[in-house]
Amino acid sequence: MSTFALVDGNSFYTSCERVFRPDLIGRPIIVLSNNDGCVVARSAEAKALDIPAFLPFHQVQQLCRKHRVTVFSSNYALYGDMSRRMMNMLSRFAPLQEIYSIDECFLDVTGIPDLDSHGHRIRQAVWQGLGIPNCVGMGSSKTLAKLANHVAKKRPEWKGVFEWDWLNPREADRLLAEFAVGEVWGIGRRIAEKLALMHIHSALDLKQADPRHIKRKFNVVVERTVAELNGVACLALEDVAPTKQQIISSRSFSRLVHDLPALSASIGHHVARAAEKLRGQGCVAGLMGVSIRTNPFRDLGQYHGYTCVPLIHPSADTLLLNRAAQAALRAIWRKEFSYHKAGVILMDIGTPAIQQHDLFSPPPDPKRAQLMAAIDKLNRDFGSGTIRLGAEGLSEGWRMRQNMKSPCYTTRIGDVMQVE
Amino acid sequence: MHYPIPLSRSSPLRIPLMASSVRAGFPSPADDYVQDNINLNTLLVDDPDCTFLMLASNDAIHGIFKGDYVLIDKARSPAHGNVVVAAHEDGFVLRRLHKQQGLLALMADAPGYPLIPAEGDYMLQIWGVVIAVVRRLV
Repeated sequence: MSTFALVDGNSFYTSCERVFRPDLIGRPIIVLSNNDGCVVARSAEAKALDIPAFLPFHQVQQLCRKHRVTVFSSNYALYGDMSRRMMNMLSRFAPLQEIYSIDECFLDVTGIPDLDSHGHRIRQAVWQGLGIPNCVGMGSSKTLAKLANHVAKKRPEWKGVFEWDWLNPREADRLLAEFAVGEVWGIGRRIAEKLALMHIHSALDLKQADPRHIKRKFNVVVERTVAELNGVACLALEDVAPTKQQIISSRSFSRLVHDLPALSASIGHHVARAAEKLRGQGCVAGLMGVSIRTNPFRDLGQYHGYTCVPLIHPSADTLLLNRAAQAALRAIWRKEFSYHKAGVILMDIGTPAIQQHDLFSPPPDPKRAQLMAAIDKLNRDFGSGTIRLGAEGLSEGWRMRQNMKSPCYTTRIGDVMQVE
Repeated sequence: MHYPIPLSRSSPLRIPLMASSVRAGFPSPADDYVQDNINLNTLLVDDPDCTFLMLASNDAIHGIFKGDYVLIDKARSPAHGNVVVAAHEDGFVLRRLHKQQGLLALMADAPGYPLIPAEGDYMLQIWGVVIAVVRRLV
């Protein structure tokens, strides 16, 4: 039987900030999204103050001031570097690792003796070596490992490490009954609502549900979740990260945007970012969506413009994609509205090898691929944004606002901490 | 024999390490066989994942000058006599750890720095152990 561990950094972004700000230990911290738009991360202390996540920052600003919450703009250079370090360290604790997100990974710990001390060694190594608090959840399936991680996090008596096999079956079921079904990995809000109609409310209810019935009502994925809750591992560690089926780049503006040139610059920027990701995974896209919308929290005229443009030749060429995106933008823009968010989404993603060419239009120019490779290399070597589309604009109001960003302590020599 | 030392901005500095020792006179034919490259990282760093760089901004510790970069191993357990970086007030201090005869404190080698004791409410928060110093001379 397999055993999986899920290790994740607690309140990862705020913990990363705190590593270099010992004065903030025990104090509430929040981190804002790109552009300082929304709250994306909260330290335990900030959660305890009931500061909600994913709200626009201006709606919680008052509360933050009152409770003297320290506010950071997101510093992805720092979080990315700390994540890389953490993942490298964790890879030493198991023969197989699957990095699941910036702050969590699965480890295959099958056959490792004394999982209790192994789990505590993992936790201690990351805490001492990086200063990132973390929890370890283990179980005989990835779904159970995920739930075990919740137990490790929420129940201090386990001291941050929990494995289902440490309980007898009755105790384990009693614990499963305390989890709402929506907390189970892969059970989204809509599925949870549907399950509630079938009187399945807790993780235990789902575990005891009839898998065939579940498959009929939902799909094979939810059926697998039932098996996984019963300790039958259906999901192996992914050997290779699957290529993304869609790539989204979008962002809220720091203030409302009215005019077409500003929107057009923002769309150009998002196309450039998304296309770079697309080339990074060696793929081309066949379909592009462009979206602009007003602020639903404001008492102003509401509008959501969205359209999809198919590309004659699936492509990863920034210039080509941008031309299509700009045409799409002109089609959906309405001048009477004030816009809050814009973005693009690349879809129908595949590898260049399996694409089909159009008989009646000229094939793509191979020189363009070289141009794109050159742009990517320059941006990699000299910092992202070194070369960009004229369409992205240079000083428009949509550009990233990051007033409260911490230094890049670990990745930029001029930003390293001073020690007295 | 003279080997140019390749310098590059993007790749680690590698200095060829010779198989035989340097002698006057006739070079050994074995000198043509380069054994390895010296990588300064392996010389200075034990565990790159847990090693951080900070900038010294005083002369409290002998051998470390203002403007030096210090390499800090966060994973290493601090021992008596180690130079450590510790959290103190709103920032970090660079001091020598004194951990003997029931006294736990941070001290400077140079005069004029008050001793920072671990007593009462104040627990010493050792951030990491300084394992190397990087200083350019020219």
